[in-house]
Amino acid sequence: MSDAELLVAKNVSVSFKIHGQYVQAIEDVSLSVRPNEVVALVGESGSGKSTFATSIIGLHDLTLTQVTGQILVNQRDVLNLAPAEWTQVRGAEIGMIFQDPLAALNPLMKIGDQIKEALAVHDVYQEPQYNDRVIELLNQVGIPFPERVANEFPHQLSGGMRQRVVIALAIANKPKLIIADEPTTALDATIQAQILDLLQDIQAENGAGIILITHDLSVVAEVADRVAVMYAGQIVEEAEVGELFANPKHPYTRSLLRSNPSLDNESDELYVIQGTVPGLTHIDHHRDMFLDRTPWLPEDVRQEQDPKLAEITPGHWVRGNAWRVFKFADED
Amino acid sequence: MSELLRVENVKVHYPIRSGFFNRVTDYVYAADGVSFSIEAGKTYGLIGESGSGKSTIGKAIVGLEPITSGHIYFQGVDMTDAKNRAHVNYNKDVQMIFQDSMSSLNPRKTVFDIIAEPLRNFSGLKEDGLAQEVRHLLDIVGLPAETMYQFPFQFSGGQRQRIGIARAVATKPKLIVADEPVSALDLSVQAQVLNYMKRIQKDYGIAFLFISHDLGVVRHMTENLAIMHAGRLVEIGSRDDIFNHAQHLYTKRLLAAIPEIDVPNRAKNRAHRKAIEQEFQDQKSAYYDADGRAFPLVAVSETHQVALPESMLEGEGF
Repeated sequence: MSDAELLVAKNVSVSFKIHGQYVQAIEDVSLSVRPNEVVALVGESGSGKSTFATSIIGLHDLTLTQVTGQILVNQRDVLNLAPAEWTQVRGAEIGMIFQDPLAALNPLMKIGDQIKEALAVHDVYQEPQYNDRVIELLNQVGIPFPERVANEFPHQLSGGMRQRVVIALAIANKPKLIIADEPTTALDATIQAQILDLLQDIQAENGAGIILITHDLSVVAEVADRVAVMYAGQIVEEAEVGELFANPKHPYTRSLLRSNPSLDNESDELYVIQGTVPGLTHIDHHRDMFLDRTPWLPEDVRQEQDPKLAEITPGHWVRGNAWRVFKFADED
Repeated sequence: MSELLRVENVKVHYPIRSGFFNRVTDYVYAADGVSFSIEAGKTYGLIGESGSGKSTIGKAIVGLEPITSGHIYFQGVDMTDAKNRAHVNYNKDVQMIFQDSMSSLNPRKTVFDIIAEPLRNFSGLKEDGLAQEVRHLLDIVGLPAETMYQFPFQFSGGQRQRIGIARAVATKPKLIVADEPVSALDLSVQAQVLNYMKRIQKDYGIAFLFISHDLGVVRHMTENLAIMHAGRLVEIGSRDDIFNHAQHLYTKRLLAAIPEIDVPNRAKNRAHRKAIEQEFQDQKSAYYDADGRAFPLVAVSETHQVALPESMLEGEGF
């Protein structure tokens, strides 16, 4: 199985240079993605999920960022690629769908020309095929009247249609690995549903693997196969989607699920996670930072040194031992 | 039954100007004949997609958006007449909480000045009393009194939103209009802000109009819901009416689109969602009139109103 993996990231750490010093943003993150699989990365803002994705597709500014560990895309080590080599990998092997479609599209270029530009970088398709491929792609992402839309500019399209164009760009050269960074956060519920369905259809057609980055647990429950929950730059829990929602173990996962208003519609008070996400400079990577937000737990539980991810049942990984004794403050 | 606010056939149309003489060539019908009423101390949710006109209605109620036609009655007095506004202290009794806490708080003012401003305008308190009242208001939203002399940028998003809540509560209003108050916040922070709002609503018996596109949040916060689409209301009802007995196809579509944490049934939910979407595309014309506007609301029960033509109501009733 492992030789078929589209992405293998091992012990990836990322540090940013802030005021002349390197500050570690993500610590020892390992993740793999197989064909036909949607792996969700979940966490609040500041948890490091986008930072991790950015290092997979090599978009960090390396003069200010240190990335260590191992990242294999289709068994090719991409961590130390030269910029020119990256151009061959991006788009052809990895496609990226960004959150804000208006910022991801060139406002001065027609939709069709933008897609052709992406095709021209790689030699998956040849020049005479470009026009047909543009129409084929716009059809595939469900845009009505593709011939007309190809001649329009981004501002002439609605938010949902723009996001479809961004998806068309990401899959233009049929990459096997697609990173979707909050692809539906800016969209309305009905449009979100359509875009999520579209992602699943594309995956079924191309056999691609998708990394879905989101903070929305209900989106995860709808589309993911496997889920990794991130907090303060670390993965704190990873499991198959059914297992994660049926048997959440890590205190952070359980707290997130409990504070979700859509689950808990009758009771008067929503569960509130105390405190806030720690800033980059306040993270101690030798501890489970979330336990700072559960002060009712015994001191020795909260101060556990170097908690490791351990497989508690097949395929279900949880960091540290705090989950074994964790109770909510109002639980007996 | 004590009616606090009644919105009657409110229309807000924006002119579209074009051509050499910049003449008005058409209108955008942001709100196109909206009517509903709010009772004292109760909670209402106004739900719609972006562009449906829900914020326009919210702004029209607090007087930030001039209305084209229609009337807004507050305790029976017509507020569209400016003379009446000052007379009944409307600006004190109706307050607003905004979506973007950063741009709705003056960056050059301290928290004390921000919260004291409505108190200075309406309460007649002098400096000592003001400081005491601001401290009390900060306490209500769970912020320490020391934060009184800090500036908005020194707070996190959730804290800023709580300052906005304290400011809205300062005048002891009878109605608070909250426009997407938590959509910019992370889940754990969102829960906290919602709890404060709910507690204040109950403790002070304030009527709430909660405007949002997030049905999960609205379901948690409000007992009565109104669904808006393209400038018109398509359905009004209690939580139970809307979530369990929705009648308008648009409401059903909106409900089906909410992702649910229900992994075992997700394939079924997805099929259901696609079926409803197909139905919406096929039968849209039956649910809207020739101009694409929703029909007038018709009462199907004491609490439940639906925008359906007479012919479709028969056989579908309760």
